[in-house]
Amino acid sequence: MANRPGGELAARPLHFFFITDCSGSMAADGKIQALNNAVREALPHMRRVADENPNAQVLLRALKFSNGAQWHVSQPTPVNDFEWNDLSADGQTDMGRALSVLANELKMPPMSERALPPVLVLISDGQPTDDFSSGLKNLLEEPWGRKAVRVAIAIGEDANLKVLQDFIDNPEIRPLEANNPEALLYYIRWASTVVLQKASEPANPAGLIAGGVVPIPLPAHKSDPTNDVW
Amino acid sequence: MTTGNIMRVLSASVPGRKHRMGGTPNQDAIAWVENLERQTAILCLSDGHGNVGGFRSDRGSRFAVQAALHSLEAFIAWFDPGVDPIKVQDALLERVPREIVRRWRDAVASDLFERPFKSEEMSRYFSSRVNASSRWEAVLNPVAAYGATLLAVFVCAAGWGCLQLGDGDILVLTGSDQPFRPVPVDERCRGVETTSLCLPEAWRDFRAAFLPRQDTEVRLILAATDGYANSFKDEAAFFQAPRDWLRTIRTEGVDEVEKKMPEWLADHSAMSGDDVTLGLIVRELEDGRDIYELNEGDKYESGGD
Repeated sequence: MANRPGGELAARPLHFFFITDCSGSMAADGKIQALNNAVREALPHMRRVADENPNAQVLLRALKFSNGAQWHVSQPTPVNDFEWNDLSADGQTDMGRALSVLANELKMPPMSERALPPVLVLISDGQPTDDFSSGLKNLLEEPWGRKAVRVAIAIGEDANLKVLQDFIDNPEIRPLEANNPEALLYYIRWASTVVLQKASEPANPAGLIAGGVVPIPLPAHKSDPTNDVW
Repeated sequence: MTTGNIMRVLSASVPGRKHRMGGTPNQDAIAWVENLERQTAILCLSDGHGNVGGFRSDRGSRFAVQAALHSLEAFIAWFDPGVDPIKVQDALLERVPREIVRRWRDAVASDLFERPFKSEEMSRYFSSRVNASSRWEAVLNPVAAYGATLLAVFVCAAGWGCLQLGDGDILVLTGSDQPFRPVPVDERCRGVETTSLCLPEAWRDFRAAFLPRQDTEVRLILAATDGYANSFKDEAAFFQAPRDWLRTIRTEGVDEVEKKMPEWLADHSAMSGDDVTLGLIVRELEDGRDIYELNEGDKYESGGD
């Protein structure tokens, strides 16, 4: 029997980024530890979703921002090999710098044309202290930045919902407000599973008519305000 | 001397994993005609969007390939081999897309009249939309429910040509052995975006190419919905496909290859997760030989026109 015509086959890469606020305020009331716990708890669920979607090769990275922005996990890491080392909190909220660093990684190359839309999960409890607008402009100028699935989680009532909505840049999706550890856990798991699942699906074009973003279902979580601590 | 050249069309379409598991229909469609006597072949493929808003795109893609097939049949009958190729290309880009879009919209309108949206279709659609303005889309622009792309290729006595709207791929193999894209990639059609028949003034987004036969003899044209190219590791692996298909057809025979196509395409669908539809137009001599030597790709055998 003849061989299948054509060269080697491979699943399409799906780049998933955690973009985490590590400013000093995240040290208060156990926020940073709740974030660390939530990401660690979400990983097995991410692996399950990745296993169920063999057409996507899920690659994780993590970027942190406080005074400037630094990679916490710099290399695109297969989800089965990804380990979460605890973040600590200190310094300012250079969110704009983080988006500029991210924009560089979403250029082609290093991104490939055949990638699935990346997933960007921004988690913050505060106000940007640098030039957020320039960072966002840099990100949205990149084709993969524009087409990325962008989700934002606001921790506590001091989080700037306006800048998080600007980051999302889609009126269909609102920032998710986590005012207690249980809600943060829920939303990080939701982003790591439901959003990942939708982004892993083969192209179901939203079409230019719909703005060209992957449609994602909304989280069903109803937070009990009596549990709010942030 | 071109007498004795014949065109063969091979095609297959397989549903993606999501559609197989969910019991939902393949959103791709394919249709073709080959006329051995007139040495013409027309092959049309369409990829229905299959997104939440495109809840009837399986029907939209079927309407698309029929609209393109009829429009191109009429177009090919219109010009003779001696016509100025520039005029053919202009007409192909200016006239045919409008005709295709008109036919497609007529088919959609008839379908909507005969099968108005059902309440379950609308409630599923509404539940996926967050704000009121986007919920109105399906009501204000019901055509979007049928959104689909289009790839159309043809070979006739005068030459060969193609039309493309939206994503998907067309590769052409001539005597040079190096496949090429006859129309440029539309940068808007990356990620989850694509141009579509359902967009206003969709005819403006078509890309087209026509080459007269005296300039270049085509050996094989490959047209595929995006699930095919997306399954390859990279562009080089994808560009290897046309020559491999030709070699396999030459060694195994058209009928044998056509039998195996669904199985091979299933591998591609498993990798990309998407519906995969592939069509090939192959030109060969009556005795089954290629018009060029296979092993010495640049050697021209048929003698041309």
